[in-house]
Amino acid sequence: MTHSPDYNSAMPRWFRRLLVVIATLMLCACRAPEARMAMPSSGALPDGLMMQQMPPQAVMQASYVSRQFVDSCPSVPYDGPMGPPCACCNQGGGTSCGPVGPVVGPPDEYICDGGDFGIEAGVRTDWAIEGLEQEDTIVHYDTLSGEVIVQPSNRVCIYAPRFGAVREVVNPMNADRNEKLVAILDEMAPSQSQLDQLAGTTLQRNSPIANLGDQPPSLYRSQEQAMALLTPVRVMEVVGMIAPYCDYQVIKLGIIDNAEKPWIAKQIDAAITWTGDQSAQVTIDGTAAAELIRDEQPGQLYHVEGPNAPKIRLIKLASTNAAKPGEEVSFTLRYDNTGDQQIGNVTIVDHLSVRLEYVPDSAQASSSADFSTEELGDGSTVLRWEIKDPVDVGKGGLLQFKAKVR
Amino acid sequence: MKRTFNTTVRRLPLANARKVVASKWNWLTLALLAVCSVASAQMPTGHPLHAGVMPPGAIGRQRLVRGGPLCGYIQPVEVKLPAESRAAFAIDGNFSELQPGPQVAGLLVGAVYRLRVTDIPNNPGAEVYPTIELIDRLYPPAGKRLDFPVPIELTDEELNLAAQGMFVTRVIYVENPERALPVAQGKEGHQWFEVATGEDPLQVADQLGRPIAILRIGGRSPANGINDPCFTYGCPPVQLYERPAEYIEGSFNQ
Repeated sequence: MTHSPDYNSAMPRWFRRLLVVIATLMLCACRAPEARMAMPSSGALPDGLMMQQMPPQAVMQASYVSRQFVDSCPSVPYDGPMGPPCACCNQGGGTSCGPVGPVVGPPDEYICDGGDFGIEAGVRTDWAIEGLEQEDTIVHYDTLSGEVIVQPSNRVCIYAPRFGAVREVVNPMNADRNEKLVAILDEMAPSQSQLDQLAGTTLQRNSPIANLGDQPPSLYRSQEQAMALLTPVRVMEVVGMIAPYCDYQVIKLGIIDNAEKPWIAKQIDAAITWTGDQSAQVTIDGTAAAELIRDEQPGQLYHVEGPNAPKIRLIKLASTNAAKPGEEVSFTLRYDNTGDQQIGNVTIVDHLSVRLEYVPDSAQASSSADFSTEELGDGSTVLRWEIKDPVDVGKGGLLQFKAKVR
Repeated sequence: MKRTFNTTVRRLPLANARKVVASKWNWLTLALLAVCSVASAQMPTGHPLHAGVMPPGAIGRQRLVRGGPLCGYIQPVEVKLPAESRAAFAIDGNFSELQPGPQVAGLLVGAVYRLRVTDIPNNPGAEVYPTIELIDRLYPPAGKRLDFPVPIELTDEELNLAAQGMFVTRVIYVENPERALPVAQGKEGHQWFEVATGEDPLQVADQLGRPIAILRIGGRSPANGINDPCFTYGCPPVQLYERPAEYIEGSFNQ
């Protein structure tokens, strides 16, 4: 039996193995530099041909946003003039399309309302609602067995980007004076002329300049004029509650018509949330409820199997999928008792986004309901409808309101 | 008679000099690994290579290299002017005909566009030559591209500041709705902030939202004439659109 002598007593075996492991991990963690696209130095880019040569763009852009957003993003079709029309576009909405495949943008250009995201909403014994965050819309009701069930609506998203700006004003002349000799500047007549011009009456007349310099960046300017009063109001909104965008059988009567499914899907597809993993978990009578969302069933339906299973369907529609600041958007909520028992104390609560301002006196309800609003400290508004009468099986109601895009 | 063989294992000591060398190698290896770990952890966020003081065009080209469906996309912008001012884009080596605002034009991301602005209020005869650089784009629904242009506001105050020798940098960004201010915004203007001294406007805009465009006013006058290719940044292609219908009748008031 032979033994080789340990010549590396200064570097023990465990230490050498540790070094190997660390080096392996470091090498595995190293990433090769991403393939860079050769771009022209100037902005004069070739036409659609160049777009055809860059298929990795869609993949790179998909990794640019969150995976949840990519999986559940509403329709954001590519509208650029470059490239041939894409065959993958779904005319009914819901499919993004671009010259090189799906094109998905960041979600910061949308205002969403509906659903229950973040902390799950719940109702206390004193009927106070906890966990109702911005953009959440829920309904809670009592069952015959005395239970209180909370359910969210679907999500409506409106394309309404709002822009801001950050400004910086510098005076290059001052920097030159600091860097150069004063004597040289004094000898240069043009500099003296410019100094006189800077100290002229122009700056004095524009007194807001000095004020703006003193104001910290936290302050903002907001301009609002009476142009919003000139916004035309459609006659259909005055005649009745059923606006053209929600004139469907399921909204009017709670009856699903097959012919209307594509149109309802178009309204709701723009409403599908980007973050589907944040859907609220509904429990009815201590049993996890199953969420039914399929082609033949618009809206969201929660139920438990077996007798005495209360069900309610809450559908939310928006009058448009795009709006500019200052424009009004009409929202419609349709609720139906699709269960097998009567439900009572039906209360529908909608926590509007901070970008949506409730239009006073615009709330309407098809059935008798107590309506109230609450302004929260963060500038958002909570709308609350308390349906007075119990909702029988197969019956439902309609709620509508308007919100102004800030 | 059974014989027994005993084996003796004895550790041979290393020389002291070799121990010192081996220890130094160990420390060197550890130091290199530590440095590599720190370097790999410093992943860039936001605009690591970008700053508001970078020359026009640098930020946009870097953004194109980062990927995304930006190259070749024509992003409409709406250039808003004071009521009496006129502006023109540099097209095909020359400045086009001066037109009042607002003007809607389609620009490419990454390119730098030079404008000529005249008839500045309270400053007759003065001209400024701002530049517009798009560093990102919007993703509107189908058919809504022209309904939501990127607003580029050339205000009376900033034009006068530029005419007096100031250099104004305005970074336009898309506001993050989760951090939006609960204030109403009219159709004629968006909110803006004055950056604090020492802060970079691009980094501040990156914190507030997603920077879309950079407007630079002042800072340079055409030494070799207004049609100098270097001055106009090669006149990248511009797609001019008709003026918005609500402004054709002259009802626009800044």
